Amino acid sequence: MLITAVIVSLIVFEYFFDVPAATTVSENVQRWAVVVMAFTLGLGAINLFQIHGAKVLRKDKEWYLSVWLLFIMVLTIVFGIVSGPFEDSFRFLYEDVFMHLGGTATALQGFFILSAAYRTFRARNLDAAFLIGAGILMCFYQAPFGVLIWKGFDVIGSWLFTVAVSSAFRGIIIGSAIGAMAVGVRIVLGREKGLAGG
Amino acid sequence: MSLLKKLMEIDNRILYLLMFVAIIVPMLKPIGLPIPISQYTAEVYNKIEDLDSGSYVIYSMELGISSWPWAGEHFVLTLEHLLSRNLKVICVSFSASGPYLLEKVIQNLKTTEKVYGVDYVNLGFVSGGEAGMSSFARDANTLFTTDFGGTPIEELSILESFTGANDVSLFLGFTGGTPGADEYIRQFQAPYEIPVAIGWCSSGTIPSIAPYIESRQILGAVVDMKGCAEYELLRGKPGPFIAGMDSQSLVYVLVLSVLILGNIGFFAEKRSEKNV
Repeated sequence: MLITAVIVSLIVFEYFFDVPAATTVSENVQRWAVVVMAFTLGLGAINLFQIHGAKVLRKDKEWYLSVWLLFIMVLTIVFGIVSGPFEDSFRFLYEDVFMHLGGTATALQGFFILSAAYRTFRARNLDAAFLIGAGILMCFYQAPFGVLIWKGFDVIGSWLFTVAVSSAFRGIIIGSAIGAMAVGVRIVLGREKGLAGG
Repeated sequence: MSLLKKLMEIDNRILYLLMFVAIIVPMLKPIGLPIPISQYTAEVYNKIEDLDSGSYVIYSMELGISSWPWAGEHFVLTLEHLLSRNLKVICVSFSASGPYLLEKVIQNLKTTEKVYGVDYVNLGFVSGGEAGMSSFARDANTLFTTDFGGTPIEELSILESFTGANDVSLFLGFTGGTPGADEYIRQFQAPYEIPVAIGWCSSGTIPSIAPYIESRQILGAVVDMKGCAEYELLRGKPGPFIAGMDSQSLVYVLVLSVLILGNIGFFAEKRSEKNV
């Protein structure tokens, strides 16, 4: 916790004050962060092995999916390391399998949305009615046919985006930034016990 | 069974078939609906057009390979646009899944007169999240010894006069959320005053980006298929996205129709329950 507090203070100090010594130290610390974060990718892989390996050993519910996950992960790592990312074996896994599965999963969402629009999007109360109304307006705004029907859809859609959505999200951004600052101050003061696993 | 009840109990398979038809038919026989150019897309395009020849542009890809079927052709079109303006393009990724997609984009370039290592380069993944971004912006060359393919950076002439964010005229990010607009602004736009634009994002991401566009911290954004179609129009190179817009229109009509149908049935049912 002390290390975190010192590093946070240093980075903040360096951002606001032009002190060459602090700049040099801050640059080095940030470079260390790049290296440390690279290691966390490996740590993530080990963590996956631990969690899913234990799931398989315990024969938990749907344990065979964990076997499949670990198998594909090992296969990808082996192909990536042995043949390199530009060889056919790795390309097959990444481009011919993973890429198309990802694309298919995304495309399937359209079918689910259609089904949901038919079966579950109901104007049960005023909030739901507003949500549906805004959704319909955005459909008319996003698709070319909306402007063809009535030019006003473009005006209303733009207003929703630039005024209604922007102002709502601006509030969220400002609120979360203040929250982040408060957490930062708590870390520096050593009051954020969760950081040390407490 | 009444007609209304029948309309309320359409099988999912029929809905999916209708969806399939709505997507396929306009692709086989385009309707040619007009596509108005939005301000968001125009800003990105115009900024690239306004850059001086030889300027450095960061082409930052935070998306993974699964977004290739979604917008791959647009990524290529944008890179070709940058190269056609004789800009020096530094391709980089602050997300581990990005470099491979960058490699695919580069492989699909149709332009042949531009040379890898001279006009553009793929530096690969910079780890470290925002700390990595900050280090890259400050002094990029200290982070790399080779490019993504393993070529030593000393052999890449494009990097000879490139040190970091201070040399860059435009930061063009392709993002699905995080890292994205917030990080670009904190690490590039605010400290170095580099113009930042979003080369592509999904329509689900745009609400979190829109406030920054309104405040001019981000110049503009190419949003989803609509933005890609607009970009194709601006480039004068009609492609799959313009073709896809007719399908999108028809799909929206279908979604709206079933939405209205479902709600008519809901209220009719409620009314009949009240009468009983």
